[in-house]
Amino acid sequence: MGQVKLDKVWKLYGNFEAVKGISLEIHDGEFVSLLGPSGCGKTSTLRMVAGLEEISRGEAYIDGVLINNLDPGNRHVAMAYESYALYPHLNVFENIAYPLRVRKVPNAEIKSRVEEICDSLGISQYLTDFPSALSGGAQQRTGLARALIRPASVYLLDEVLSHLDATERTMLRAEIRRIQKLMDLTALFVTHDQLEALAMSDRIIVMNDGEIQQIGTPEEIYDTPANLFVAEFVGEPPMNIIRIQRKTEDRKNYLIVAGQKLDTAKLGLQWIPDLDNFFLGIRPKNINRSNNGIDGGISGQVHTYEMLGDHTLCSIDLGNNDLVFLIDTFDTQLDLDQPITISLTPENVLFYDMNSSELLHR
Amino acid sequence: MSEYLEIRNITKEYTPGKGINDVSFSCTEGSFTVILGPSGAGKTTTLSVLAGFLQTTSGDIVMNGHSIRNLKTRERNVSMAFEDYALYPTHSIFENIASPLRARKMDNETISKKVKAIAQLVGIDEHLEKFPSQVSGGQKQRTGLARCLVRDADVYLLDEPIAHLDAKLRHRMRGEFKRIHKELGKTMVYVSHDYREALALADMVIVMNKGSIVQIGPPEEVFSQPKNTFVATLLGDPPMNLVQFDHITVKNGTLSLIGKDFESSVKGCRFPDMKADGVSLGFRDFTVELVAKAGKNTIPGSVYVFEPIEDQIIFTISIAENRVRVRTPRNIKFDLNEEVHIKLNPETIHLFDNRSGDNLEYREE
Repeated sequence: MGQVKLDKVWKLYGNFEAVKGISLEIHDGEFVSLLGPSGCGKTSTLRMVAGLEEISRGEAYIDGVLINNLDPGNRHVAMAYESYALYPHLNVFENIAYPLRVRKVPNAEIKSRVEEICDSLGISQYLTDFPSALSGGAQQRTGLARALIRPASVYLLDEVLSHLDATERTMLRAEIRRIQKLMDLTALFVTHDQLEALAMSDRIIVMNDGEIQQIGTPEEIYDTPANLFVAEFVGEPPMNIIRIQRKTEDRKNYLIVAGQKLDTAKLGLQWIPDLDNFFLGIRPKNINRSNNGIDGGISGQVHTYEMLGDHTLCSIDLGNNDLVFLIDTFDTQLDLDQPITISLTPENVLFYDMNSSELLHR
Repeated sequence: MSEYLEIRNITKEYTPGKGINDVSFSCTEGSFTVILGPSGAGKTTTLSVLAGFLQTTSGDIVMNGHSIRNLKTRERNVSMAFEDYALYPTHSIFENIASPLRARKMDNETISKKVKAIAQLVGIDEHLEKFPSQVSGGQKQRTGLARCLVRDADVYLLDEPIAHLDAKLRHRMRGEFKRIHKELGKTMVYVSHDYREALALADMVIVMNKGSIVQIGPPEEVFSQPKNTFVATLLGDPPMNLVQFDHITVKNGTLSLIGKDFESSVKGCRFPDMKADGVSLGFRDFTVELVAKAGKNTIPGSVYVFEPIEDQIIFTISIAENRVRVRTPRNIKFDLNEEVHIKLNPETIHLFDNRSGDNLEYREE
């Protein structure tokens, strides 16, 4: 079993509202990420589940049991930390064995279980080393092994990849996901890195300012961000957000983009919001370079142009320094300030409300 | 175009394991050269030798036809931006940027005009009245960059000038740098450890490692025709995949790969006929396909893990002892531990000697 349920949970530090009545559910065997910038309340949420912070208001359940007043030790959770939190005076073996020793597991069983988990995390060669002798990556693997060695309903992972160098981070990211899937673990993972959340999760919970912004699969979060915060937080480079003014002339709808008047029919858009002003959101990958003069094209000038190996990243000045970014394949050279026409893939165009910043639906 | 700056067989000896060894390259007038390498490669030492901060042990530096090896820094008319900013803490941002012009006794009006123009170009114009202690690390770095660019020099030397900006700003500045270079039209030598900066900015990339030059070439060339596994894995994210084989042969364009547990062949290769032991096959994550069944030009593996990233999926595939990464569209579905086959593109694969790391195509007979 491994289920978590939060029902209108608050975390208050004096007058400061760190978590503002959030509700969520994590299902058995799921890998769920809490994603957001620092100060968004993701770590407070994790620590309330772990029992390291009191739940100020609301109710939290693990496997159907109310945990508000349970000690951390009775919640059936295991946690791994950003800063590893290893015992410096114990070697790798003893650090990992510690949770089993506390539970008076027989020595022979401890030995076989430590060796097994170390094997799957690739740290078998370090068993007799002390933490200070290890690289950051090996220390974090030890911290993870110590969390994973004992059965728990939920594994709580707090920014466990943050301190690692890029190569280590990519490797360990893949390994954590593999182990979680193979062992069918339920995991709640806190991260500020949108790429980690996309790569590892079954579902992502995006938080900002103590509130949940969106809950969805990585595809849903990437394809249809629920508001401008999510749209700009997920994706690198971020989604282009373009200010739009709508005009109707002779019963035809036009969009005014950076002073250019565009026919919505020629843009291929099936629907536009019934508002005078709104934002249009489009990912850099969904903007295409087209030949000059094409119908439905937006014209501009090449502002920057970078070939990056497998793709080129280009920013286009639509006038008045309104830049949009587009990603293209690695072939034709463009010159700076060269005139260019771009078109948007209509099915990938999103609209956002200017006041509420929410996604607008048909 | 003529060679404007020539570095001829420069050696700088310091303590053992430091310094640079027999470094030679040249820059045409108005070109943008990026020296790329990991820390300890000798990049900053090379730049310091060009600036005249360090004396060379041997070799020569020729600028515009004249040797400058024995000239002092201020006689060389080069301008350098430092990775650690080196700002005057008691001077405002304006005065920091103005300092090279004050030293040249320019009049106040000209100074003010030049400082404002360059500050706007690098995006620091809103902070001119502040002091270094009042601005962020990224703003300090841009101040250092403006101070370097404000004066008229023959060559600009830039040591990791955007390394300390946060990721978003760094991406933005990287793009803007090309505009700055175009605007000024001057010869620039730029040091970086980030392959993206080299690919995006350079006319010519100089790859260095452990004090020596490993490869010199235009960006597309160092990316797609790496001289050895060092260059192949320094450029690219993820780096180039390498799969080790015990033995390979090439005959009439057909490459036979013999590994511990399997054999494969790739037809239509550009390689000359050869036989070799201990060879790694190299390919980039976006140049191959994942397919369910063995077929022409495939090698077998199994799914170690898969990770959806934006509108693509990165599969990590185990091939015997090796792990490789393959990027696919989102609609490709394989499960953990499922058997898959990687379909290679004969035009974009490479062969490297396991021991030396050398690309077999560059091997001298």
